[in-house]
Amino acid sequence: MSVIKKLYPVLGLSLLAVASSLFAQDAKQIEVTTIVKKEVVVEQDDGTRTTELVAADSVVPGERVVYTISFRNVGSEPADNVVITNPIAETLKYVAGSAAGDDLEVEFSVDGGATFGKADELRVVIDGVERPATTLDYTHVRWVMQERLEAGSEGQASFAAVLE
Amino acid sequence: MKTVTNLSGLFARLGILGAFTLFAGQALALGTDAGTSVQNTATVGYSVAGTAQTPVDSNTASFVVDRRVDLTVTQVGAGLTQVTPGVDDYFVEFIVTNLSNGTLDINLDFSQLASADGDVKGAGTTDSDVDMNNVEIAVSAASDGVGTPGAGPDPVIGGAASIDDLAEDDSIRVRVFADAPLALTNGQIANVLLEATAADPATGVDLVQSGAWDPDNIDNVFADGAGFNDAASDGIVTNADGFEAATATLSVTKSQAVQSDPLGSGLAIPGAVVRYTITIENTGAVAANALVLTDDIDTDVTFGPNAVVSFNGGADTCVADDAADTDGDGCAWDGTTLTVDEIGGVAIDVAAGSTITVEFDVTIPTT
Repeated sequence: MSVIKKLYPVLGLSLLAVASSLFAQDAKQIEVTTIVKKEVVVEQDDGTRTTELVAADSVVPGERVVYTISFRNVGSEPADNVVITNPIAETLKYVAGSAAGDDLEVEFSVDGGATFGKADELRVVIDGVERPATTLDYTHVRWVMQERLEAGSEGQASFAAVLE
Repeated sequence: MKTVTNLSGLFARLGILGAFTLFAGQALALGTDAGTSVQNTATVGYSVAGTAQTPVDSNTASFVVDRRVDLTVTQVGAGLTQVTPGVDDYFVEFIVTNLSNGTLDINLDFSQLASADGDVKGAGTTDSDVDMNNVEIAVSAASDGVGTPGAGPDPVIGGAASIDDLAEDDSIRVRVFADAPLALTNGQIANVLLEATAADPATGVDLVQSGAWDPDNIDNVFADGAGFNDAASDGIVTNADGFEAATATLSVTKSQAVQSDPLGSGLAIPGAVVRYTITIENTGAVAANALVLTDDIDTDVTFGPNAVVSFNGGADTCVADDAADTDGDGCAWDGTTLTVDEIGGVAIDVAAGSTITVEFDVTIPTT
């Protein structure tokens, strides 16, 4: 298996985080887990259709997956300025309007995570022509927590994407 | 297996022009390649007591993109393949296309159809419950290339009987060769079915949609359409085409009429001249070539010597001279049998739907 990794400022930070978590476990005050599920449409006996989330065991192009990021303050102090940042894989297309989370403000990046903005504020320049950004332009999604995360509290952020 | 991290996505998006140039030759239209590992890691940044802390990474949630199995088998050309009974090595051609998100092997098989299978290529193409002989499949030596179906080399007899490593979006030409039995009659149709089954590109074994899904391995999800004789989403696609016998069908009739008689009675009495008219009609689909007409003339009548034979109402004539056709005009007479193999110095052809007539006179002897 060959793993493609491009060093990038954000990744640099991530690697730092990994390194610091290895050598200073007790300094980590927030725990984060990510899970991926597949969204399927299930037809009920009465003919109505509902969407359900199932394990992402079988995913083919065109199918929709949902990522859920759970975070929890496991420290003794409240955490401020909590920001959850999630790159959107090259093979995934963000589903418009799908990013969600209580007390979280959703922003996107179209420049590899260097800058973020609201969906309706982002613009890209392609071949010298500026236009509003589309979901295809998104490289990252992030959630900015509006309140402080008290010790022992937790939250969730999620977004959906279609496998291209 | 190829792994794409979220971070390589940055590269693709940032270097849009560069990435486009790099990947222009790839078939991205059908989606992410089977086997690609899609990984996701979230990072949380935060502050404590006004001091920014080291961001925390989540675990990596990943899944392996499964194989969406889809293929098509399309007919080539309009109409059935016209065959002459008794002639070998006719073919019908198909183009097999891999629409999966990864390379496939494709196993091929054929079967001969029957009237119950119905039309295969438009109205009037139902099988006549006759079969071709020596049917065999031949795959082209090279694929067509993505976006240029049918561009590959002609499949030839003895070519591979299955498709090895057909890349995503690529297509390849497949022919089903067959010999036309001599017993076929004009208009009879013999149809064949080509069955293409998606197979593992590594082992060549038919793929199965096991249902035992594994997020870390390539599973098979059948997404193929229904073919001529198979269901949708079964990993198999079939299509049919056929051979139609196109042959000359000759009918020969002979009539007679008294031209003159000594009494002017119009009766076939001794001394009367009787004109025989032989009408040869081709009701088949193609010309009958190089006809040879022979007529054993009754010994009770007199023919010749050097009797004149007239064609098509006198448009051409010849003289039935001798057994060797010494004068070389196409008419020979050995004293018993009239043989005609040329009219006006050329071989006798009867075009489809046309008629020729041959006339000659005999005399009823008076003694």
